[in-house]
Amino acid sequence: MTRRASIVVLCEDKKSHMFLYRLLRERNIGSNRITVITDYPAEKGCGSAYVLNAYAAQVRKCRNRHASSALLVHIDADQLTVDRRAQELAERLSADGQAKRRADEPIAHAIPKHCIEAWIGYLMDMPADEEKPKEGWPRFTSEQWKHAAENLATMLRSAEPWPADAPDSLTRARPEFQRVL
Amino acid sequence: MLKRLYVDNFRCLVDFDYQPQAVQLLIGQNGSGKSSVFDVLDSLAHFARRPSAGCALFPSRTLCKWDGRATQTFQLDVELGDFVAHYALELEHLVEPGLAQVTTERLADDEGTLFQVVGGKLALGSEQRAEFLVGQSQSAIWHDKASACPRIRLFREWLQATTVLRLNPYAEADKAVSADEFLQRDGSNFAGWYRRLQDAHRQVLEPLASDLAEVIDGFAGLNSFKPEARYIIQSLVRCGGENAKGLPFGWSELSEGQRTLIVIYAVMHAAKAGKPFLLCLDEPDNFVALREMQPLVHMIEEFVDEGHIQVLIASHHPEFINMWGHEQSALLYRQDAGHTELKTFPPRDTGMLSPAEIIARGWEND
Repeated sequence: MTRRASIVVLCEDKKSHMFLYRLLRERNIGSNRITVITDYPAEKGCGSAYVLNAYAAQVRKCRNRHASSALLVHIDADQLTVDRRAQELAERLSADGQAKRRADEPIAHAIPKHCIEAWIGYLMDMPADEEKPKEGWPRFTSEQWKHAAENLATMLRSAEPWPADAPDSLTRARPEFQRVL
Repeated sequence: MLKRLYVDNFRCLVDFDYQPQAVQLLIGQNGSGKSSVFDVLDSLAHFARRPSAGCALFPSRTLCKWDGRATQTFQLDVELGDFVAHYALELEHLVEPGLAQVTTERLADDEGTLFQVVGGKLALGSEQRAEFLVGQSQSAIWHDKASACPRIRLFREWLQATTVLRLNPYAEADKAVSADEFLQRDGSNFAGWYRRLQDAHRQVLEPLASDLAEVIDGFAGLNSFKPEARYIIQSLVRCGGENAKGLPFGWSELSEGQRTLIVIYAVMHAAKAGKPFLLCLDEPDNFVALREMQPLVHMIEEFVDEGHIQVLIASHHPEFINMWGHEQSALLYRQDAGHTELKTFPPRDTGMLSPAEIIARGWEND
């Protein structure tokens, strides 16, 4: 693993915050090397707009620190496709006058389709259904979120191809996580 | 786990009914009653310990100044494995000689009374005729007859272990005269408390040192020894890299922030070694550097999630407010400097604002 001074996490809400924090800890990243941007909105339903608004500024800060800082971004695709959500992030960079994200930059986009609960469900051995909206998933316990993070960390450690029934957006996020892990 | 706290006529807490979560942040302006909640829990914990100052833990100045009644009531509902304990304590404050006395003390489970004291007479279970005279200045929870009941003992152990910390690193001595079971609220007896932890729960020392090494540069461990009649605590710090030998540093040679972190981390790890207990942290962010704040809040969240401990926190710090302000906070509020009320937080229609921003703008009471 490339040793970096810190990983900054930009995410939608508390649940994804703790999920990504635990994932990083499972990959033996020290608690003092993880910084989660915690000023996500108190009101539900504003998470993706918040990430979009904050994204360009966080990329700029990450780039100013060069290789000593990585950025892990979580944003749900919601009703959009994963490609469209990724395009929205790219547009935010462009609007901010910044260059496109390069393939070798430690900036990772974790974009579940439709919501991160689809990933948690799959990681907890439930059928992968990426079209199901957030309301359609059970309210996972913090223990389930934790086990899901452990399972994803195990999958990311493996060099084998991932199961064919894994959610497509999760499989597509694999090289994204590898940018920062 | 504490499921409910009811307080009536204690400072600004009048008919105050609070149902805490496994981890919860108490937020509110200065003087809103956060510390009073912790003071009640601290006094009840000391009331159940031995030796106890008894009713002197509830001096007359703790009566609500504008209420006028002389009776104070405290109730706890505590989930203890397969049952819920319901504890009630009622005190009457006497004009002469200015002390309080127990008028009623009762512990019950969902099936009925476990013990009850009324007018200085103790009755056990449903055997109302089996009465024993007890004093009215102390808890009867230690009475030999009460101690025979496993559920009473379980509740007593939980209440005794309730720990309220308002740390004052300047009060913490590097020496202690005894190995202490309970940590004082200001952390002043940490040397003696740590000695007991070291003797009784050695298995937590290594993970404790490992966690602390992530937030304190070079930290290699704590050591407590007894050269003469006193326990002395030292910190070992590797100065000059990971492979350097740990050098002993006296407790007072550490910074206030380092000492604060060590005490909180040690208490959290102690929870892993024994039964779950309630920890109340009153402004734990004092003295702690901003960079050390997230590891601290993450550790609290993880330990609570694993079921080792219940933590109530009073803090004005944005890191704490944003961590628990979304769904795990209780807003304490006093209308026109009257008694404390609980309000839902965060309020509606705050758009993109984070919980800390809502507080900073003073919009929490909207």
